[in-house]
Amino acid sequence: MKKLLALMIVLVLALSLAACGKKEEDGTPEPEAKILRIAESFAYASLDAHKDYHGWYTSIYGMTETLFKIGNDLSVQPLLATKAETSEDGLTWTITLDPKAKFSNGKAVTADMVIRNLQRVGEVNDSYHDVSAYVFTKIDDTTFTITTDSVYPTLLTDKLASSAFGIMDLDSGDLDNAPVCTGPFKAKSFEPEGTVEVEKNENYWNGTVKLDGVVFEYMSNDESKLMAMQSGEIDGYSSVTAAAKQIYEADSSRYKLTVIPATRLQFYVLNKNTLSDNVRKAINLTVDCQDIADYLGGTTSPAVGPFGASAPYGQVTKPAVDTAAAEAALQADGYTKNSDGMYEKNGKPLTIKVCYYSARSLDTIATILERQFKAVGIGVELVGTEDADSTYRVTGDYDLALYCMIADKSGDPYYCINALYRKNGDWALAGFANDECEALIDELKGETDINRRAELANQIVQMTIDDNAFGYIGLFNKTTVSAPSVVNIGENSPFDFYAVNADTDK
Amino acid sequence: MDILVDKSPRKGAKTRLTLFLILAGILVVLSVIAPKLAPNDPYEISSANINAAPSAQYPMGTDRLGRCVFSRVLMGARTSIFSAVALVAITFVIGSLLGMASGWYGGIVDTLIMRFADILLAFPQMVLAIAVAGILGGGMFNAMLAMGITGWTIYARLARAQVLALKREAFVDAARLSGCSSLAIMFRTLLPNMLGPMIVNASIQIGSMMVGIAGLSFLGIGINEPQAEWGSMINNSRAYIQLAPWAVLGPAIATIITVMIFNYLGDCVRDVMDVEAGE
Repeated sequence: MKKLLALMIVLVLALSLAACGKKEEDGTPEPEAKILRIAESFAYASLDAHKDYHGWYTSIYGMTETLFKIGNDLSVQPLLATKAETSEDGLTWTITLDPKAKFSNGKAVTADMVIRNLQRVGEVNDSYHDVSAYVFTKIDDTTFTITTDSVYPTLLTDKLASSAFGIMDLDSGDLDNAPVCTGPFKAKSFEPEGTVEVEKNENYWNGTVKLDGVVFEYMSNDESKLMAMQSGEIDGYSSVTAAAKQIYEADSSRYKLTVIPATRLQFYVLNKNTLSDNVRKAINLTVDCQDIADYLGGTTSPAVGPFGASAPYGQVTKPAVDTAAAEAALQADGYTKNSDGMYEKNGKPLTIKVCYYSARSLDTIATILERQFKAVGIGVELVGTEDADSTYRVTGDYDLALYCMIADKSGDPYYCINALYRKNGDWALAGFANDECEALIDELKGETDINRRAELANQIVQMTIDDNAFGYIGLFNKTTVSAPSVVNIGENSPFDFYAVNADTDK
Repeated sequence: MDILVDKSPRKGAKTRLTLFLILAGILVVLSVIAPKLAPNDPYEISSANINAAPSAQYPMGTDRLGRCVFSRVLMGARTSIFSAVALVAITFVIGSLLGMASGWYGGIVDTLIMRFADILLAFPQMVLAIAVAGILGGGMFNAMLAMGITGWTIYARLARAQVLALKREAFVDAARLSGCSSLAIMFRTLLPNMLGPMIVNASIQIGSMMVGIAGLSFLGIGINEPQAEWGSMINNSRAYIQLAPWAVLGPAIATIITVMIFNYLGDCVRDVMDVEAGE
């Protein structure tokens, strides 16, 4: 009886095991979907690429594509369009679309649809209202012209390659939550200001998409991203902090770290209305950018001007740090050192008001500047705010204003120069107004020769350095971390708005 | 035997009170002489000593800018303890005065003060403080103002209740019949009789205020860098907690110990008062 029972148990177990293996006998198990998980610091309430800065993110998500793109070497490259030609007078551009280009719903990308997209950006995006004045003319299904009212040599980089000009099918889908676009991925689920999931675009026109999908986790906190990376919850992210970078560097078998020069500039504006020429000169001779870069742990590189030194329009010079010369400049202005070792004039100590906001390491820089200035006898009042754009940038209430911006969005210097140095520019409140500079900026705007553009840009930036109107501290490197097997998540592009593409894999 | 039973709780409470008064006193003295005790300049940065481990030169190591954590903790004691004590003192005085006026005069004065207090109490204290500090911006004064906006209401309600209870007492009637003015009665007759419970409350509040101010600084809307303050020190070093845990643990342990001492001190003051009231 016992033997019979034992036999039955063995039979039952054998059958159970057989049942477990049944699926494998019938066919191979279904392969697990290849999903990449990326952390992003920001998330928006809409996927409509044309509004605000949403296009930046729909480009990161691999959903939208533009007519042209900026390559890793900052060159303009074709994407949805194959070529752009200018007329002899430089006012009319003829754009030819790639006939293969199509939306994820299978519809072809036509000249009509592209014109409607470009016109819509001019209507709904405050930063691109000037597009409304352009004249668009359809030639045929894949060719159209854009006529501007003045020569605009950077139309491709400023506009057509800008992520805000991502092309969408305006007649299909829900533009805010699930727009139909041309990129390698299409929206799967969208949580406003939260997690965004995209899935493979089976109809992708420009190659085979290697991943099945990507999940973009919204994580604004740097420590959360570090811990999520360490636990394996995410596969990668960019804008790695100095602290996290050290941790990843210590374990290269688990993490792949890519650091490349990028274009986000840390700088300060010196208020000409409140600081004399000699005090501004003393400040610029005191600030040690290399020392600041050392404290920031390799996340930035010291800057000479607003553009990288490798760019043809980044060829400027500035005086080396010289604290003795800085003190001499102060003394020439009538300042004398008091018993505390600080400079004063007429019994009033020299104290400069340094305004900063707590992002992009500007708070750390403010602390370092305070020590550097104190070492030469300049007192500092540090004023931290949450947001510069609604405080000191619009009130002008500062002696030294720290700020961070992308100086080079498209491989051309005009955007930054136009924003910073114009008489009516963003920082005009600081008193920098130079007629010669203004004339050069006007010339730069219409100049079509690349070499001359670089020459003009170098002259303009050198003027701001010689005038001690600005101080250029550092250019952020783009630091991306990922699991070792992950490739093509935009780690080699200096721009933040390029991330996943058809070749992204894990 | 009865005498022994009666005396021991009082003696125990007083011993504990003495012990915690001494500990609190040591903390206050330490914070006063912090600049003399600090082995290094708490504000001196050094790129050669970033995140250095504890050593003889830097007893608690250094932070992300190479500053001596121990020296900064000592200097932070001054900021944290004095801001909390000053804030409690200010809210105590303002709250007590408003509460006494409310209880003594009654009517429209009472309604206005108490309804205003009710409005402020309708919001959680920390949430309101975050909102106020966020609007006003950083800095010690603004952080103290943010915490103090609701801090006075506790004393006002307590003082009002005490005045309402005491003003029907015979000795208050006697003072009134003897021709004393309202102010004289409030400050000479009522105040000495209600001070005990008020002080108990104030001593318990010191720890909470300390945590509140450190909390605002931790969130980046209180006392900002480079000033040494425990909350902002923790906040600014937390990114490096895996690389330099000492930069976080130093100010965190200092906060815990200090808050515990002041909380125990408040409890002991209450125990002594309770025992005396019982007697």
